Amino acid sequence: MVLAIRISDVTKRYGSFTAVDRVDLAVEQGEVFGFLGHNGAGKSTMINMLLDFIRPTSGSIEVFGADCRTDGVSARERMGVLPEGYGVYAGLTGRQHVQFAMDSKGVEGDPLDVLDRVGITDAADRDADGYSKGMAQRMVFAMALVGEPELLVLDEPTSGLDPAGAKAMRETILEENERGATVFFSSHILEQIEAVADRVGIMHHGQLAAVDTIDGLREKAGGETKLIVSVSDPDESLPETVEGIDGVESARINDEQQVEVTCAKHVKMDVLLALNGQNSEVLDVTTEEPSLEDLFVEYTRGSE
Amino acid sequence: MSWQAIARNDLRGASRERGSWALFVGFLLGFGGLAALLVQLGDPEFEVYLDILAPGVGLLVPLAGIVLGYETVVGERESGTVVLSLSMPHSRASMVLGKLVGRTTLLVSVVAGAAFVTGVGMAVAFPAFELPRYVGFMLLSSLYGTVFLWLSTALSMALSTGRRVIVAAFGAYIGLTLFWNLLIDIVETVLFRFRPGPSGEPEAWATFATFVGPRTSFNYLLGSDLDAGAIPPVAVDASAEFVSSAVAILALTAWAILPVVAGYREFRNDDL
Repeated sequence: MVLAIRISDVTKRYGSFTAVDRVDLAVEQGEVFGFLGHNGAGKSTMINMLLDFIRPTSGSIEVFGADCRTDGVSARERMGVLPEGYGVYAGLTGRQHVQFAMDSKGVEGDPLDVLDRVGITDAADRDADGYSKGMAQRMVFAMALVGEPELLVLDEPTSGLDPAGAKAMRETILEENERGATVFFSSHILEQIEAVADRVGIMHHGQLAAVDTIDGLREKAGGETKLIVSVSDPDESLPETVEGIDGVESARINDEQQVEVTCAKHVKMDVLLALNGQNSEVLDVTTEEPSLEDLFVEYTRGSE
Repeated sequence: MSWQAIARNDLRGASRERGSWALFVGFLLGFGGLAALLVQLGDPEFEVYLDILAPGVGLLVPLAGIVLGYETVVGERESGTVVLSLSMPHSRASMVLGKLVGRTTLLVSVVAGAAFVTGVGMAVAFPAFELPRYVGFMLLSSLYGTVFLWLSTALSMALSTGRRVIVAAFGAYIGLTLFWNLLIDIVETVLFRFRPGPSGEPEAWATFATFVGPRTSFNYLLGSDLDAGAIPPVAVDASAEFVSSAVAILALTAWAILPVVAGYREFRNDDL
């Protein structure tokens, strides 16, 4: 099966500055691929080359086998795009924006259907230049959804959205993926990627620092878990007791008088039993998996 | 046919812009105002109307073309709408074509709309009103405006900031409408200093260069084919073969198309 995206040895230089440095990446059809990195790491440069807004200094990019540079129209015929740094057409309503997307992609139908999916039906007939950032973002997302594209390319899709809007967009992204669409989206917000991506690529200083599944990344960065235990009678002796267990890295009483234990996954029960046994009783337990933030710091520290 | 989607979108936006309507009102005041003035003065003559309107149109219609054209591409780049347009399956060529068709349609509609309203009034108030000449006059004016519209669109593609485009576009407007003949004269004079001519007769190439200047070509077409305004001096007693309507139309077409081709070659390879 042809790859949804194939990026081969792509470099983009601006004078002496290298924005993207020898990136290779393959995205399979049907995947949700999260493209993670700080602002300025080269994510948008990469996506803009995918869209033929800017041209690679060397290397090539293909979308479903179509070269983005020489055959960009064929490539974009199969894409729905939420780009970065767009402006809306002055004097056109949300409905007319979507109509333009439908005209452009040769799709018949009612613009309201897709505006409905992103929840801005009420604003459909207002001028889009009066929209808030979040509404404009939803509208352009609606434009991207037009015509059931095989590949959704979303650059920082949740920027400008409130948490509820971001959640709704994630749900739509997953729906689109269910339908069969490949999704390639960038974000500097880790939770966004964690929530929907099958695989993650970490971009750092123009280089692709790592590509893996989220679980795979976690494993690489160490299989540790943080336990937060509320006990009836917090006491300084408790951390000491727990630290004696094999597999526990550290334990302490936090500011809320809970016991915080960092340990290997397989000793969680041992820790709880130990805490419950003595003069105190375990009232509540929460666990924290290492976040992508932690992983990200782990991965990018080396190349600073 | 993706340029059609771009053109339609451009027109949808333009039809709701205040500037488009201001331009329409401006032309209406110009075309209709002159007609009304002549009626006021009594004995309105159609010939007089055309003779007065011709030089005015020669200056104002190109200005409208420049105003409608200079933002075509650079404006989209600065506002970020180009990113939306090109996220869709449009090539840069069809985007430019669509914008040109949209803007040209707008210019022609504005001129035609104002001309229509004025024409209806004149058909009643001017005893010698001739519809074919009136229509021909407005068509030529639209063509002339389109030349400057395309020229400024070309600059809008070739230059990277709005400010540069404005300076270049208005520079081109002033240079081509007011100073083209003067420029040719100066070049000729400078050359003659090195190789004095035998008589006061201008060189053939200088006559040609003057004739194919957009304003001279336009005025020649108006004067010779519609008997409106004065035939430019350079063409009055020139016996050269190139002094013809066909060459004038060809010259105007070249002024529109060649810059667009050059501008597009820049835009095609640019990073947005």
